[in-house]
Amino acid sequence: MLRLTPNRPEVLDEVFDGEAVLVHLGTGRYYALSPAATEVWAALGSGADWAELTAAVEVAGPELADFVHRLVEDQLVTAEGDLPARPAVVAADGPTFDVFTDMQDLLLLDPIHDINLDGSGWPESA
Amino acid sequence: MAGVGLTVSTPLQRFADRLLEQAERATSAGPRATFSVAGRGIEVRFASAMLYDALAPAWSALPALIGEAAATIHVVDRDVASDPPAPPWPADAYRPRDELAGVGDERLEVGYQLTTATLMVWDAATRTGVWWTRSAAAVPVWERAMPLRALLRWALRDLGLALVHGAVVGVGAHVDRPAVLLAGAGGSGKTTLALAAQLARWHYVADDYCAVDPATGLVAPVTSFAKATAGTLARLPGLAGLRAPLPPAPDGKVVLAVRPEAGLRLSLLALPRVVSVATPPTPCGGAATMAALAPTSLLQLPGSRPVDRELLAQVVRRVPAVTLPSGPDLGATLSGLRRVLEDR
Repeated sequence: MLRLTPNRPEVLDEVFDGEAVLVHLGTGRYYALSPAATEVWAALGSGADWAELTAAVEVAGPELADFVHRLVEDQLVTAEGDLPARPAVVAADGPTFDVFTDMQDLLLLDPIHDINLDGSGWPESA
Repeated sequence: MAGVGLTVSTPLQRFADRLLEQAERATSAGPRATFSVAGRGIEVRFASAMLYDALAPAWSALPALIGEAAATIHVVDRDVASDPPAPPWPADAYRPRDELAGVGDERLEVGYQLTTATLMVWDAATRTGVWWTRSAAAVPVWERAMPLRALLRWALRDLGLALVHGAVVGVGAHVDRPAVLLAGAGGSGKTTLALAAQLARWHYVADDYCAVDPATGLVAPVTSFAKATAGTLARLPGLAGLRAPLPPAPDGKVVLAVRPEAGLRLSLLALPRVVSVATPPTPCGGAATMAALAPTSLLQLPGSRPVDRELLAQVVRRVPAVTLPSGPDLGATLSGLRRVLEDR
């Protein structure tokens, strides 16, 4: 059975007037969810299986399956079990999100290379 | 019948206890700086006069501490003290944004800045922090302009304040002076607008980070300095007289000695963006406001937690927001902003 769990606390989420904003602390990406996507996110709660999710939202199966794939790809949700097959075509009005990468770009400017420790166990000067 | 409690300390907690002990010894006879942020008193104890001279000027124009400090931070360098105790985490724990993967717990926040070899530890149980750097002589200018940013964020969080990335200016002559927080990514124009407002004799609070009390709406400065790009200096030549006696930052920004004001009431959030022709401010929804405010506040600092998101969300829910298209005429943008603020 497929179980989906929001990747908290790595993902910080907040809902305002039916629109969720997600910040992924690990990747540096942040997201603005559409109202339909927010409905799905809210239905996930602290974790839900596929049957619970499909019963809780009005989103059609193919669009829901595609959106769940996107959530998993972006590490917003962890999946235990096999994801449903991803449809080749989905309706344009399905759940979606805008993803912003400007802060991720800043993180990528700050890569960590091999760390050499000095005699006291602390990193040598970068 | 009362149970018998058994406390088992972890290697990290034992490390932190030893670190704090060493830091207290190192700063016991050193100089101290005290100030307050939105009514919360902070005491910073230094291991050396050189460290004090490097960092304390940033708090010189902040409100004075009244009564007991609510948080204490020990600032130490390896020039005058020994190395800190050996870390209990592995060499592969070091991450971008000064984070340490898997290091920290409900009591302890830990960060390490590789570029300056600086360890940062915050103990929420005792509200005590340690900032232990390699050399006082090597403290970079950006640290001198806005010292101990991560530690202050952890300390203020435990005192009920959000450290928010944004510039703040206000208007009005009476005690309940309305202020606007300009939020957005770098390049959105918030610093230029805030410094233009400062020159136009608005009340100036911050150009980069500020502290907000979500419960009261009070907004407060956390440093006496601002930073401006060469472009902002060229656009606002009046800033030249505010240059602080510090070298330019590596990114070319110049440090300015401003005198921030405290005690302003946050009554508006504005999301500026640079446009060719300014238009009036328009209302902005909570999700868009959170998307402008949260990423830079949460992703630029180590150790962000759900409580930081909650504090920011409280601010967004409390304060109305507008988008602020800002054109070449900064005076016109400020006039529009003043009208909105004075209506609050």
